[in-house]
Amino acid sequence: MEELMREGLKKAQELNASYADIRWIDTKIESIQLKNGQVEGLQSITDSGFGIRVIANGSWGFASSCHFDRDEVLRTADMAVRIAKSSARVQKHEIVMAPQGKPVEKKYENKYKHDPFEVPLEDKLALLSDASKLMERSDVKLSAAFMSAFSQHKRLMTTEGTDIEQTLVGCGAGIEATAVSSGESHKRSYPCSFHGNYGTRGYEFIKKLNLTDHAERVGKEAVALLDADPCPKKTTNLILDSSQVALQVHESCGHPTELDRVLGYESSFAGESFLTLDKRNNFKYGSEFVNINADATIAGGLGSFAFDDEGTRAQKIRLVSEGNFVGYMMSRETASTLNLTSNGTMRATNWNRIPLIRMTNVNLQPGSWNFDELIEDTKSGVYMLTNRSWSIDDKRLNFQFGTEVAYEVEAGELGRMLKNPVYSGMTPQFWADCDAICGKDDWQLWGVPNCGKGEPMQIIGVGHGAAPARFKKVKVGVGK
Amino acid sequence: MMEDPRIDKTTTLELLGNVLSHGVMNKIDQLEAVLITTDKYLTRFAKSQIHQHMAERNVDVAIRVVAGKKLGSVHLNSLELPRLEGAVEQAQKIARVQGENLDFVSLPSYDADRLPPVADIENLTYYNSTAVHSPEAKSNEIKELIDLTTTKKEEDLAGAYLTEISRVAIVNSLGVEVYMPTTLASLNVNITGPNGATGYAEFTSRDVKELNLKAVGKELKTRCRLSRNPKPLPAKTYPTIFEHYAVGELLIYLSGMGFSAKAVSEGWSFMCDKFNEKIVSPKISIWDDGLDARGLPIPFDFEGMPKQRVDLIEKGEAKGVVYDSLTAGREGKISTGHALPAPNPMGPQPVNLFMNIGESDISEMIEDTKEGILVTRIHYANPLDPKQTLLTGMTRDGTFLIEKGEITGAIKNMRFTQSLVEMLNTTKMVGNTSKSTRSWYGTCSVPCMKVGKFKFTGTTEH
Repeated sequence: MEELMREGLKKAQELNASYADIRWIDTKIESIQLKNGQVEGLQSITDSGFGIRVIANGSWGFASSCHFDRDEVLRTADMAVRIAKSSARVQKHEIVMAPQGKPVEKKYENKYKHDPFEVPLEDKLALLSDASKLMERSDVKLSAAFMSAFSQHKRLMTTEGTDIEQTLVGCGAGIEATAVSSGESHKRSYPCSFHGNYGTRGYEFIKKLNLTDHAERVGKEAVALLDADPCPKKTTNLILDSSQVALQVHESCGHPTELDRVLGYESSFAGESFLTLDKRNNFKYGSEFVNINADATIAGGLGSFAFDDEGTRAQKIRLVSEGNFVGYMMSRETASTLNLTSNGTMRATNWNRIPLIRMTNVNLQPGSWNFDELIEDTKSGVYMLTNRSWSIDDKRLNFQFGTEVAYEVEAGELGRMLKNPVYSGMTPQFWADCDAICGKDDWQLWGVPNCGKGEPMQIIGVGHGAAPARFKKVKVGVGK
Repeated sequence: MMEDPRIDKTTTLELLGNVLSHGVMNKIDQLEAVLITTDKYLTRFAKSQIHQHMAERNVDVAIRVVAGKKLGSVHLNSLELPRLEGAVEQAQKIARVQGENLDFVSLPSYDADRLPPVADIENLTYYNSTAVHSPEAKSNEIKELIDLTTTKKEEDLAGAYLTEISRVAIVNSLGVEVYMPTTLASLNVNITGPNGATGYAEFTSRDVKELNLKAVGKELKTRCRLSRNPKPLPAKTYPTIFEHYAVGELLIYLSGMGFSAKAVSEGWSFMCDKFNEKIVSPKISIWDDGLDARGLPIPFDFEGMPKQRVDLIEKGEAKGVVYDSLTAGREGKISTGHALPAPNPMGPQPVNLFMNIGESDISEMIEDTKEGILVTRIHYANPLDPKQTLLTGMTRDGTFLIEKGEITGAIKNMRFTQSLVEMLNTTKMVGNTSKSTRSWYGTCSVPCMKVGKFKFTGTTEH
């Protein structure tokens, strides 16, 4: 393999590429989906190939192939350079990569106890089947259970001398119940939406989710929502559970702090960002309680790794400090526009995709509140849990989120269940009105497996650490 | 462009035939093998320069094994027979460990009577003009479009230009054997100019020769000129006119909320218990037709079943939904040819959707409006409640105020929260031209339209 990869780099240089890297990736995925106790999908995916990224005539080119042999490596290198040279015809500025320091030669594997691929399929199916049965109720039309495991082994070599091998193994699981009546349907999920919680951890992570301990409650709550009162339309105190805070951070802080979006690279598709270059170190993003970082070094996060796909070491980056916007997630190319260096956030989903700036584990730092004290301190408001819908404008300002369930908060106590809860706002105003964040005991690292970006779309896993938080003067119940 | 020389029709079908033989040797009840090869070339541009430019060569082989009523699936991207044979055995093991899927009846049998002749298939799906279109040609076209639209150097273009060649082969142990080469060309472009000006244009076809850069450029410039200095407008319910792009996106979301037999059987489709009842305005008909070349024709689905035209909504009445072999078998029906690659938790989906055209020009819709909004495009929509077809999202790339029958200015983007069925019930006018817009897994060909009521629930700063 090493020899073929070096031949690819050599070929690109012979064709006058000023820079080249080659990534070979081998991926294994096992996914299981049960619906109403029956296996609806159970599949194994294996996939491998390589991609060559070059700079020639000052422009990027990228070509990839699943056929890893000498002829194809040379053809692919040739195509990458040819593409770069054709790009140069429509180029205002030559690509500049920020310096990276000394070339790195490393091997890395994430740590875990039990390889999820070694656990017998029968055991996994039994766990999901047991959880499904416990969700069943007369009004539960659909009970679903999900589990998946992945292993990705990759090697990156560059013309600068970097040679990094990484293996990341992870898994996750979740359950959901959907109750249906003639006019409406309601879903409850555990531990969160998007088919569960995921991390770069072993099967011990799935065991710790204790799916069967929560399944009966999930089924009951889905049915109870059919008869719950609708969330009233008003402006009030909003308390979000940890998983919904994670989604709020994802959409309203994670994406807008990706420097490629800020520079317009994604403008035709996903959009740009309100956090323009003039706002760095010069913009009040939120209240003094709001501290947000992107930390790829946390053990077990879905956005954790040792090196990004440009060979930059994983880092912990400050994005928002005491409410002030202080930094972006950057690649080598985008960092050079600010005379900075990359902070290691370039990831591609696979060998056939170029690396893009992706969230790592973007975390809202814990505050000092205890959850029970937070409820007791709230005279009036709504407590919303578990994301159901999400939408935000193309600069990441105007947002609307729906959750699966809410509870009224009156005189410091949780009250009646509310259905169809929705809240909306504008990002900086919303975070400026954050007046309480719960502490470490309520803080949890969530793995979101379905973050999409780029064309062709790259769906990647990211992490978000969050604790329940309170926001003042929020519009809730809008839309109906 | 260059195609993968390793695999043509003969070698593909021979390879898959060997896979089937291995299944027979292993006494497998039923076996299906689907092979898709792809050569894809994507050029992305932003700030009027190419910033990402990619080529991809890949294969995907999906093996599905049936053991009684148990199914196992394995995907791999290899053409090596020993690995494919290993995948058959792995799928067999996966099938055996699970409980029975009581809904499953059988993989489909070969249905030659309903498949178009081979030559017709190629004429529908494959254009050599697209297959040979080079990265250099695409770079030149992007340059030409930039020169056409940014004459004052005040505007910037961003977008993506894709050309793709695929070859799809499907065989199963019940006699299905189909093969289809396809090409695809698509371009989406967003323009930005001074004082908040913006616009959008899109092109999709199997034949790249149909791309008319001058027309795309004119559309971008017109919308960009009109959309300067957008002003905020209070959020409330307005009569609203939708350009083709917005109608296409709304239709895709409507489809996802109920046009699948799976959604109906699971009880969350808006079509549940409504068949043969009026659910929207009689001005509206929606159908799926895999053989209609005005969209992106595809003659069979990913089980090799011939595509049937399915009337989904006819003159306002709920008429039908689409089926694959699993959902059809459960109800004792024949698949309509709408399976996606297995295993497919989404269920069958329409992938070549159509909405009827009407008699109105968009200028007549504007003239007919005392106070209303014109929407170019929808951004980041998401269903709140599929059964009520309640959707939220933003407008983008050109939102305009109409007063006394004229566009009087651009407005800042607005959030909507609206039931799509209720919206279609207030349909006032349907456009007299159709345009194909790409969705995540197909296309829809739609007109512009005007509705009486569309609920805006917020506004943003741009």
